[in-house]
Amino acid sequence: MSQPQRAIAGARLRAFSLFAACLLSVALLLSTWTGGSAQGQRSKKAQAASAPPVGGRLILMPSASVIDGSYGSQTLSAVVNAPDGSALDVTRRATFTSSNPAVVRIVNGVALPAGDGQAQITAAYNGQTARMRVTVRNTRTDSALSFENDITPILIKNGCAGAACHGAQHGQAGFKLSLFGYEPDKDREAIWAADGGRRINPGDPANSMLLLKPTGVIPHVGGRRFTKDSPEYRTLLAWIRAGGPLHPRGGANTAGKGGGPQLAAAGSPEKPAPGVQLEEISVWPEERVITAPNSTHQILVTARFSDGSVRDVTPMARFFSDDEGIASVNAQGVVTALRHGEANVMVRYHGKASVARLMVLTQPRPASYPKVPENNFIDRHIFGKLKKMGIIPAPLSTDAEFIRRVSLDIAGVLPTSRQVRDFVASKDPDKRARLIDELLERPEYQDVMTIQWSELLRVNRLFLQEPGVRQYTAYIRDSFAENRPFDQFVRDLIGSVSYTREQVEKSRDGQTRAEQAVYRKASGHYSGPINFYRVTADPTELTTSTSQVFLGVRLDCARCHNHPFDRWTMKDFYGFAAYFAGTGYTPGKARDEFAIYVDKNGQIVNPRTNRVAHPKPLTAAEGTADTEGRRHKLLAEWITSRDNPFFARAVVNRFWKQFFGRGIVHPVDDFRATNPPVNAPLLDALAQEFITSNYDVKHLIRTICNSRAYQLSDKTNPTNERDTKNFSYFYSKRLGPEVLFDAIVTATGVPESFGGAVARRATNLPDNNTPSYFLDVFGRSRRLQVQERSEATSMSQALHLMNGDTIHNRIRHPEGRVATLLKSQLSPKEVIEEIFLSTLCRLPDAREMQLCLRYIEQSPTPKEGYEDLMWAILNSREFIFNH
Amino acid sequence: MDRRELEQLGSYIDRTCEGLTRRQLLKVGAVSFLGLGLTEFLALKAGADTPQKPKSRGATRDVSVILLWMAGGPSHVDTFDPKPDAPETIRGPFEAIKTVVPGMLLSEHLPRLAKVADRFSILRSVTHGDGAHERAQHYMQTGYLPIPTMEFPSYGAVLARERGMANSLPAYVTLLGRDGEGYGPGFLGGSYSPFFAGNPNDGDYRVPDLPMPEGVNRRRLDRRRALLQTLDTLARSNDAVKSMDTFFNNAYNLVTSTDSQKAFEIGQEPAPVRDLYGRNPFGQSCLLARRLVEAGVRFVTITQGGWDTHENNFPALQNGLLPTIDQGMSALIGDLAQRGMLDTTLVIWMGEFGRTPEINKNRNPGRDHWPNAMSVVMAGGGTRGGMVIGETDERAMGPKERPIHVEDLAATIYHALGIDPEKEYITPTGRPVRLSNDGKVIRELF
Repeated sequence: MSQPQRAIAGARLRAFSLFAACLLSVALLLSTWTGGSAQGQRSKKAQAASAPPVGGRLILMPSASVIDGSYGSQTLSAVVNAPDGSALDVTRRATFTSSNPAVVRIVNGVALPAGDGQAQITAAYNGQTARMRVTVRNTRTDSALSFENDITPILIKNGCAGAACHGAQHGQAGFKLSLFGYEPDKDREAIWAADGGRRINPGDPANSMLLLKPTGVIPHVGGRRFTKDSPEYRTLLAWIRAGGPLHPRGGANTAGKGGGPQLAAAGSPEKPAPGVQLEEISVWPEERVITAPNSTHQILVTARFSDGSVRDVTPMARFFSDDEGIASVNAQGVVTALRHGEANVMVRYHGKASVARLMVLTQPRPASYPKVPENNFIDRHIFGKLKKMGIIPAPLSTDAEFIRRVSLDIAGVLPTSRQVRDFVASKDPDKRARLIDELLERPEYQDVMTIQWSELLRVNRLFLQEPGVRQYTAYIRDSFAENRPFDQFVRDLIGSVSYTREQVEKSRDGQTRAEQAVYRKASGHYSGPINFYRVTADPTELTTSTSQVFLGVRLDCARCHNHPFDRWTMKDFYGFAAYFAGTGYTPGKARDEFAIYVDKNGQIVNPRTNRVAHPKPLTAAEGTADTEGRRHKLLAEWITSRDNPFFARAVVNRFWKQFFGRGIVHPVDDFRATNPPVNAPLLDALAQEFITSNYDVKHLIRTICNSRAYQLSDKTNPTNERDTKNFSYFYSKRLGPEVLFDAIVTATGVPESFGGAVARRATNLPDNNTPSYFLDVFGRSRRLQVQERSEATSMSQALHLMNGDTIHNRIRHPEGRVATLLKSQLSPKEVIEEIFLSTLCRLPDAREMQLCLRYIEQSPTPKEGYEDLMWAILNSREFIFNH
Repeated sequence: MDRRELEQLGSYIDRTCEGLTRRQLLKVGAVSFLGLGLTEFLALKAGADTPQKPKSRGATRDVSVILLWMAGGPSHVDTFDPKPDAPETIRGPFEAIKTVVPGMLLSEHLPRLAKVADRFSILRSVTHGDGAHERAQHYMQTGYLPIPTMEFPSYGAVLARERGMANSLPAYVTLLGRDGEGYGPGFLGGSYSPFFAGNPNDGDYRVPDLPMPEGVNRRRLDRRRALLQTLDTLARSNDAVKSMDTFFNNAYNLVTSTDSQKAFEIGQEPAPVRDLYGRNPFGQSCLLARRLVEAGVRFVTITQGGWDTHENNFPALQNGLLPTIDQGMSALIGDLAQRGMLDTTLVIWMGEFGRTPEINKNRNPGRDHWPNAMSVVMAGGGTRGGMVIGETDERAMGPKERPIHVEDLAATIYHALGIDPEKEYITPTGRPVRLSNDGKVIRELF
């Protein structure tokens, strides 16, 4: 938790406690609490702001609950579900009553145990009532209480186990906890027994240092973390009284039956009981549409354990909003809706994470909503959501805008002025679809795809040497030229050949070409796809890069500890890495040439468990040993399996971003439970379409480019101007370094020699090694890391466009476009039109034409004037961006 | 309408010839000139309690920074934290030498720094947990571990935003380093990106593309610019488009200001001074950094790579890296002090992590990544010199006492710059982020 969040949480915690302290005595007597009597500034505002919903139905969540132990609680949420699909949380305004205050009482919207038994809670609001059943048990024995399930979450939520406090490598002030509580047994030891047990006072639990320090009774460098009225305090005190159990002492399902408290003798070692593990958390609501401005909404977090028990863990969960400007959330999980838009609230509890998705619709809906035509299923999903949000999409792009946009996106080329004129003039109703088909058949399409995937796969001389780069690049290009099914492409890379070391070396030393066949397939100098393993053979590096590129999943965190925002564990990481264990190099015939083999005995050890990890799909619980050296093939099969929930989604999302400038999951390689897609049905439908088409990349691109959503103009209107993720207008994007360079070349008509390289176009260079200041300064990928290219702009770029030789030498070149047009018989008006068409792919409007004519007239010479015009256009955003 | 615009353009062109246009053009849409759309502008305004006016130099805490960035992660044992009493597998072949500060030892290959040791302090107990280059670079240059959903701004970008440009020089300049991982503006947006000024050790050093090309003079550039601004009507709907605008305007201002360009003319330095710094990219960059800071640049990062010495650590350090930084850094500190600039210039020497104290078993032995312990050196900018703060254990494995976290470094740097480390920015999505993530200022330094 960052400092600001922690500070806010602290402040709110204090406010809560003071308030709870005032109420506690009253609440004990009344066991009924009416919201609205004492509230923070914010919720008062909320009350004033949100009108009572009309015609809605009151519900009380959860519908049933078990409160286990004297320290347990159940956070309540009373909600009115309106007919329009929106919900208003009225927890702060409803009146709660317990049917049996000796069993359960309600304080500040939280049900607290009073004694074992059953009771009913009734919420009343605006003439309606809703009920829930509560079972309270084990309040005398606290027998389900355990360190790992009850105390660790306290240490996490309060920052005790954080890297800045006792979770630091060497602890803090002589007290060390494991980072984020990953080692409960050691932490329990550190608290209960270490340093002569001085942190616990078994004879007088309330006087334990464990309670006195964080409540500020005795000095604590970390400050006061909670008060005596907090759930933290209640739980810790109960735990000390219970003798500090590591695991639950059993009997969790039997209600206590009178008698004295069954306390374990303090400090006495218990018989190790099988731990009850936290299995998953769920969040309610998973999704909510909110229409009331400034309304507050309680999020409920429920944990399910391996013994089947379920309990409310809201107080110890941690909450983060990914857009605090739209919906903020406090430490108690209360969301405040602030402005129109969408926000996801990430919920973390004890190593598990989930998310609540909130749609805040507080903008006035447009008076009339136009009928937006739909070209295919993409439009259905995008426009459907926009309509729900009251956002009117931009109009359709013009033909001139479209031909420039789609030519640059699919093939990285600027259309010629002739092509633009013809396309605009054509009366063919299917001309856009036809253009898309034509572009997909151009060799330049292969260039664009080859660059994109060479960057992701890190096709680099440093790793592969020149022959390897040549082979790998050719393989990638051929794959897109043949439109090889994308799953096949990935299977080729990951699992095409796996020979043993002996096979490879024997073949290498063979005399005939036939004898050398195996070696040639295993050497990156002869085979394209095997270079996948030539880039790196390190199992952990292959794990992070492969999962990121093909599954959109970032596993790096799980290399050293369980992923803090996702479900990935070290077991998952090393299970994945086990597919790559035993991958090795043996020298080839040439210098720096290596062939790849797989050693079936190769192993990788999970450093946490110190056990050998077996190959395991991310989605499987357990791995299986590979005794035959087939592990690469097995991985390739799992990755490209139709049942793999990640592969198709991750791949379509990458292609989507190439065209829309932003992923449906964004960033494109960060698929996480807590980073949901902006339009899940759209992503699912695209993935399904991709699978059904047998992973046909051209079909996917055709589907994307034929959608009206892709063909929208970049013009905004008052309803969509704040949208940055729902594709309600075309998000303009800076041309990539290679495409921008080629566009300048095409526009000026002056080619580049690239120091004698074979290619004439930057998009067709053999690799990223050809020296070019232009490409470097505009962010050409170095292909050393699996990451998207830099789209950042800089002053160096501006200077280069303004003064650099790339543009300067071309606009005044004796055979360039300006010189050629000057020599022609065209009128000034026609020359200006040609310059506009060959750069911006449109004709100037009347205003622009007049401006340009006047500028040329006033220039010292026409040549200088037209050069200046060319310069101005090539320096314009309209040229540098695809829009 | 058309006529009026035509007249306006005409008058722009005419007045440009008289040199009046610039100011006029500046007045056209002040907000867009800042490169900020209204949304972003408001978001930033909400987060900033002080207006981002350039402050005049000489204000009490108006400190510039020269960051000597040791890319790859320098060994602490072989530089500023020698362990003469450790086994040879740790201490390595280098001896430790005394410095002018009693008790402070340095590697024997840093003799010039040893002579000015009273002017800098060594933080020996800096520690963090991330051994991956990019992540650790981001951590050390921003004070935040990278998270997948948001990029944090580097110290240079924050200073650029807090202090703005002086004259028409870019506020944030990088020398030598090209890649800029972790150096960027993060959520502050492209407008605060560093400006890459090349390698001043090149024979005919010129800032790339700064001089106007043949056939173009100020008058023609102004005409072109007026034309561009009238024609360029693309919606400024996203950050990339907007920041291109900012950079274009900044570039124009720099190109047209001969005064500002003088700062880059390293050839004006006398030969003995250039020799003193070392005739190599790092040394000349230190010298140019001094010139730039003198002229008003707020933050200069000099990247010295080559520290990722898994192999061949000792020859690489002894024959190249150590003599180079010894000469360049000692000359810089001495020169700044002599010119009375050291008090207002914070010099920081650091890399992304330390290296394993235990020498590895490679054929040409080296040291591997070791974030648990590293040394950071600071001089000037109001910090006290001649101190060793923190200590590693006898095997240099980790802090023995007073661990210094990356967050503490961030707080300390901002404190030295007179910027409140607790200051909160609001990201474009409305999330509040403090400059320092709960770090504590290293009080001993001040």
